[in-house]
Amino acid sequence: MKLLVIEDEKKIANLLLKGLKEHDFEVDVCHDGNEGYAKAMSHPYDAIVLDIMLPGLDGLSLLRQLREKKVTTPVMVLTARGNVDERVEGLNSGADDYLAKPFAMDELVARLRALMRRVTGENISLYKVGDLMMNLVSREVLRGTRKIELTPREFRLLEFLMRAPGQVLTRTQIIERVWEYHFDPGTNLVDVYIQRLRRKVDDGEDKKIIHTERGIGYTVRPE
Amino acid sequence: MKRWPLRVKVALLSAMVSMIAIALFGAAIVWNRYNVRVAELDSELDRITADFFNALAQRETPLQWSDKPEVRELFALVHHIYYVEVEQPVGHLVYRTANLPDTSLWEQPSEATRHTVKLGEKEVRILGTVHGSTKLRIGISMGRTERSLSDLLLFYVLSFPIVILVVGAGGFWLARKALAPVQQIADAAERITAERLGESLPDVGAEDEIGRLTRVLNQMFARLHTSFEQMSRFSADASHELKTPLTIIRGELDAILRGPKLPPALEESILDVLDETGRLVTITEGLLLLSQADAGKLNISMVTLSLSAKLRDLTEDIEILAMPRSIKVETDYATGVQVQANAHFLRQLLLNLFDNAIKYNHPQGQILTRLERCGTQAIFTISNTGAGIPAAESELVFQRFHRADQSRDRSTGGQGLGLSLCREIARAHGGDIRLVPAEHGWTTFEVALPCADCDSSGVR
Repeated sequence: MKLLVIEDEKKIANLLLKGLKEHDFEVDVCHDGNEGYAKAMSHPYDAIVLDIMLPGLDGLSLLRQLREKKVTTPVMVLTARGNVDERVEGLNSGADDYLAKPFAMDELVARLRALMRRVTGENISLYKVGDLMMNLVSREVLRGTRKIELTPREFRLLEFLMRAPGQVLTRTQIIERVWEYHFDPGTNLVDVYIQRLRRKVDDGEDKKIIHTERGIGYTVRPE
Repeated sequence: MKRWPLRVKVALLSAMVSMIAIALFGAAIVWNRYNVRVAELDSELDRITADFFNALAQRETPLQWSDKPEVRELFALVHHIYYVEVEQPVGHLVYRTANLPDTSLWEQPSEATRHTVKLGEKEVRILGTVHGSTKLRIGISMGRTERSLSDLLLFYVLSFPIVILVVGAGGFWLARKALAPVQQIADAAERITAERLGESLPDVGAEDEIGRLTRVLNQMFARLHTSFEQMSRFSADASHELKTPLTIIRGELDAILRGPKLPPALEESILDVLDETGRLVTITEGLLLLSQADAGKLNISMVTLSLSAKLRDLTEDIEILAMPRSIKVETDYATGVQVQANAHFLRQLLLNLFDNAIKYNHPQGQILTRLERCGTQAIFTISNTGAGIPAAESELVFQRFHRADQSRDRSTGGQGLGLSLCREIARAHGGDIRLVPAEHGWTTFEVALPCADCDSSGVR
C-alpha cells in the first residue's frame, strides 16, 4: 500500500511518516503543493493525505486540478480548522474524507483503510475480529452464531474498537471519538461500557476478544 | 421630565419662552400707550388753559362767574369730561363745574401742577395754573385711556392660549423635523450589532451637525470594527496555530505509548499529559468556535431531529456518569419534540449541562430534567442540587472562563468555557439558555429552542 503525504509542517509530516510506517504503509512525503501535485500526477498511489494549507499550490486547488485531470486516487484532507464550511468545500472539491487537526494516528489509519477498501470494492460495512462480526449496515453483531443486542452507544464503542483490531486505544481517545466530548479524565464512562460489552461479548466464551492493555486502554483481538 | 422625548421638551420650552416674551412685550406696550395718552391729555389741558387766559385777557368787562352760559362759552366747554375750578383771587373759589362733587378731593395734592387723581371711580388728569390773580384748575377724565388699555390687556390675555398652542405645536413640529435624522441614526446604529459592525450609517451628505454626527459615529464604528475583527481574528488564528503543535504533541505521545513497554510511573505521566493535551484541544476548539460566533461566522448545518430521542440516547451515559457519586437522575421528556439542529453541537450543549449538573452536585444529590413543548418552543430544563448560583451571577456564569464558585481551582475540572459555548450554540440555533431562579440549594438551567415543524422531512 503506497501513500503520498503532502504536508508542509515537517514535524507533522514526520509523525505521519512514522505512524503510517508502523501500520505497514509505504509513504512518500513532500512539503510543497506544486511538488505534491507533480508526484500525484506521475505515480499511482493508493491514497493521498493532503493538508489544506500549503505553500505553492494550496490543498484545495491541488485537489481540484487532480480531479480535473481525472486522477481518482482517494484523498484524505487534513485541516486545522474544524470549520463546517471548509469541510463542505473540501468534499465538494473531490476529497473522499476529511480529518480535523489535531487528529489521532489510529483514526487516520482506520479512515485510510476504509477509503482504500471502498476503492478496492472490499466489503467495508463488515468488521471481523476472530468469530466476532459486526455489520455496519444491518447493525447486527454476531459472536459465532450468537446474536448480540447492543445499545447504540455500545455499538459505537465496539465499532470503534473493531475498526483497528490489535491497536490499543486509550480512554481519552475512546471518549473523544465515541462521545465526541471531553469528559474529565478519570471518568468511569469507558470502563462501565467496556464492562457491559464484555458481559455481552465475552461472557461464557473460551476466548476473550476485549482486552485491557497495561492500564493504558483497551483493544480487541482474536486472542 | 428627563423621560420626556426631546421634541415635547422643545415644544414646551418654546411655548414657555414665547409666553414670557409676550408678557414682557405686552407690558411695555401698555406702559408706552399710557404715557403717550397722558402726554396727549396734558397738551390738550395746556391748550385749553392758554385759550382760557387769552379769552379772559381780551375781555372788556370782568366775567360774571355766576353766569354759567357765559363761562361755558369762555371755556368752549362742550364736553362733560372737563372739570373746571377757578379761584379769583387765589384762595377765593368763584367757579366750579357741577361734575365735581367734593372740594377736598380736588384740593389735593395741591403742590404738583400736573397730576392724576381719582375722582370717585374715575381717574382724572389735572393741570393747575396761576395767572395774575386767577388760579385755574382743569381736569380731563382718563376713562377712555383706561378702557383702551384694558382692551389691550384683555387682547393679550386672550391671545395667550392661542399663542402657546401655535408655538408649542410649531416647536414640536420643528423639533421632530430637526430630530428626524437623529432618529434615523439611532435606528441604524441599533441595527449595527457585533455581527454587523462592518456596516455604516447612511451618509446624509450635509455639512450640518447631523452630518458631522453621522461621520463621527461611522468613524467610531469603523474603529470598533477593526479592533473587534483583530480580536476575533486573533483568537481564531491563535487557536489555529495551536492545533499544529497539539497534533504533534498528541501524535508523539501516542507513538511513545504504542512503543516498547514503559516503566509504570512514566506511562502514567504520559497518560496524564495526553489527557491534558486533550483538554487543551477542547479549549482550543472552544475558543475557535467562540471567535467564529463573535464574528457572526458560526454557520452550522442543521437538520430536523428529535430532541426527545437525543435526550433519551444520553440517559444511559448520564446515569453512568452520575453513578460514582450516587446522584439520582430523573427524566421527564415529552415525546416527538423536533428541532432544527446540528447533532454534534446539540450533543455538546446537552452533555455540557449534564456534566455541570453532576460536577457541581453533592454526593447523593439529585438531577431533574424535563423536556416540554411550549407553543413554538422546545423547553429543556435541567436542575441539580448543590451550592446553587447566586442571582447576581446569573449572567456572569455565561462569561468565558467564569467559574461559579470563583475559586478557579481545577478540582472540579471543566474549562470555564462550557456555558459560554452552550449559549453560543443555543443562539446559533435561534434559541437561548438562561439560569432560572431556583429555590435554595438548586441550580436550574433552561434551554429554549425553536421547534421544527413536525411535518418536516429529514426526521431521523
